[in-house]
Amino acid sequence: MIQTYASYSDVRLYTLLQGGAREKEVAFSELYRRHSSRIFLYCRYILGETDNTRDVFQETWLRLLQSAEQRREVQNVPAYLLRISRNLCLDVQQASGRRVFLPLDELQLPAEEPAVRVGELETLIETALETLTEEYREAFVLQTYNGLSYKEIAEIIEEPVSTVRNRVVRAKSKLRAVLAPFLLEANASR
Amino acid sequence: MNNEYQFSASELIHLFVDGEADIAQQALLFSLLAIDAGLQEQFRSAVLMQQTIAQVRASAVPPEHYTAGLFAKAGFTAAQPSATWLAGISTTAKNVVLSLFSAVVGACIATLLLFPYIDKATPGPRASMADTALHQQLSDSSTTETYAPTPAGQSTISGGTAPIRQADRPGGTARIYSQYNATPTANRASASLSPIELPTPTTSENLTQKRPDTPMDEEAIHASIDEETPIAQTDADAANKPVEILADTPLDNAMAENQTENAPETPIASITTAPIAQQQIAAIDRSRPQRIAPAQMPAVEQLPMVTLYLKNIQALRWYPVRDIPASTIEENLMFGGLYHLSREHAVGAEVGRELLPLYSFTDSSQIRMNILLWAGGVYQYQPEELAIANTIEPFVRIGLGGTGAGPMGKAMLGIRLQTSNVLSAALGVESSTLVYRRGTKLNTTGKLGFTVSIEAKL
Repeated sequence: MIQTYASYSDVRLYTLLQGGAREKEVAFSELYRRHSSRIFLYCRYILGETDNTRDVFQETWLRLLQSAEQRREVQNVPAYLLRISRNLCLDVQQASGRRVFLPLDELQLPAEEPAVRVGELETLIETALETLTEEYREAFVLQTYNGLSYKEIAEIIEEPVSTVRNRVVRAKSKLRAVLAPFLLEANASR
Repeated sequence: MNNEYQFSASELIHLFVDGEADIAQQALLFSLLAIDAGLQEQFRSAVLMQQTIAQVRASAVPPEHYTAGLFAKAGFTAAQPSATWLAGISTTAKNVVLSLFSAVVGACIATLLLFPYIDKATPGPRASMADTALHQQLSDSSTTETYAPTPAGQSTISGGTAPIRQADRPGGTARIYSQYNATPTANRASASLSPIELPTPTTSENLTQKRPDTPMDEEAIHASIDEETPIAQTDADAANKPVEILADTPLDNAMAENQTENAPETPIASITTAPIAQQQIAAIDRSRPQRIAPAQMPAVEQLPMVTLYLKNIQALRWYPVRDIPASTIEENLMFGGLYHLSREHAVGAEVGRELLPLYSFTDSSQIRMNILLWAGGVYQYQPEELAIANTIEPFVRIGLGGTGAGPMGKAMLGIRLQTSNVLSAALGVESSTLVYRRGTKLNTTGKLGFTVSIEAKL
């Protein structure tokens, strides 16, 4: 008779957040297990590795709990989490009043082109992300790190699909241009 | 996909890697790859970048102090390790409750089906009943019909071959039911009910669709390139199109000109021609993304707190009488309210009137129809996973309360049809079982009915 909540849908787990303390904790843990990575990646790549990232990440989940307590009906839990997280990130960015992307000439990439392994390439990509504007970076992160389709991204950021498509494609083209020497090297070493 | 837009070769690569290219675009890309070694290198780079990010995504875990801090702020004592254990306890408890619920529903239905057998097995009280206070209450306020057993074979509803007592409902038409044969059939006596199957939770489905990280068979693509096979054969129109190779334009030119995404598109440069020296991207002043107010989020709706309903029951079967007398709507009308604890669980109360057959307290050989006032508490379970398109919602409702004659239990199986955000209609089958005392003997009576309800969500 014993079974875990792993087989429950997101919406069912969200509903259980309105229940008793024990049920609530278990449901929250399961939702956290499923979606914490994508929320973490979004916060990290939008805000960088700062205290704000931790605060926004935690506040996102606390607001999910509040929504459940207020009996708000949510049909798409991961999309709802991303919306909360996105709004919080925008608040932080507007409050800080700083631009969070770097010009290419300030980008610190290796001067030479050593043999690059895939594991190292991931660090290079993260660094190169800082050259993207906020909106390009957001589209790129949602598409690649969160695995959303163009249409899903368009619904979250409330922009046309064509806009999303262009942002993603241009962001990728730009990253690929920046990382071209390393990608060529990595391809050659495979 | 916008077919009017002319994508550059580099853009087509990303559209393809993202799984967003249509068949014609795929065919065009493959034909370009077949003749352009530089593009093939770009393709491999794009795939490598995608694979690298996919590895990051798969291995990403929030730092432990993020998780610990969050659970502390949320007031949870434990994180994931104990979740499984707690889930087992909680689910087991829930299953026990649902099993008890099944037993109650099953008992109600079994009581109804087996009632004639029980009644036959205890014939004594019929011949030795005296008037009681309860009888007075029933006969004064709610008796409507008179029943009397007659020799088998006579008509069951008549103007009367053997009318024992006229109906005493004020203004009512006296309908005399002349025969009640309480002898159970063998089938009825041996009838048994199988346990009710409770719904099991559906498999988890993330509403956000995930696509493959690399939506292509790279080897197959390369093989097709090597063989110079016209892949565009898969699309006749595409195959007939002349291959147009767009001239690459430096990527950053377009961005430096501060073009918007919806402006006429400038093909993006391939990495083989992109001048990295044009590093003016930081000077681009783009408007920041706009915050979306939670109120504008389409996925968020308010859960109704209270549902009021008006319900009518039309009998399909009675116990202990077999024949169904005609009844008016107001004789079987109930009003109820439900408070929603969650989307699936609700509790509330119900009051109304219901027509039920009871033995006469002055003449134990007679069965009389009585309109009984009923009031009680109800519990409703509406399994979310069985709902169809949020418009058809099956539900189960049980009630326990009292009447002037004795305690009564109800079990209802229904389907709700959502006609709007406020109003809905529900159809269902309901069984009612009443326990009442005649002297020292306990008797049961009940009916199985078809219900029609109108509900309003507040």
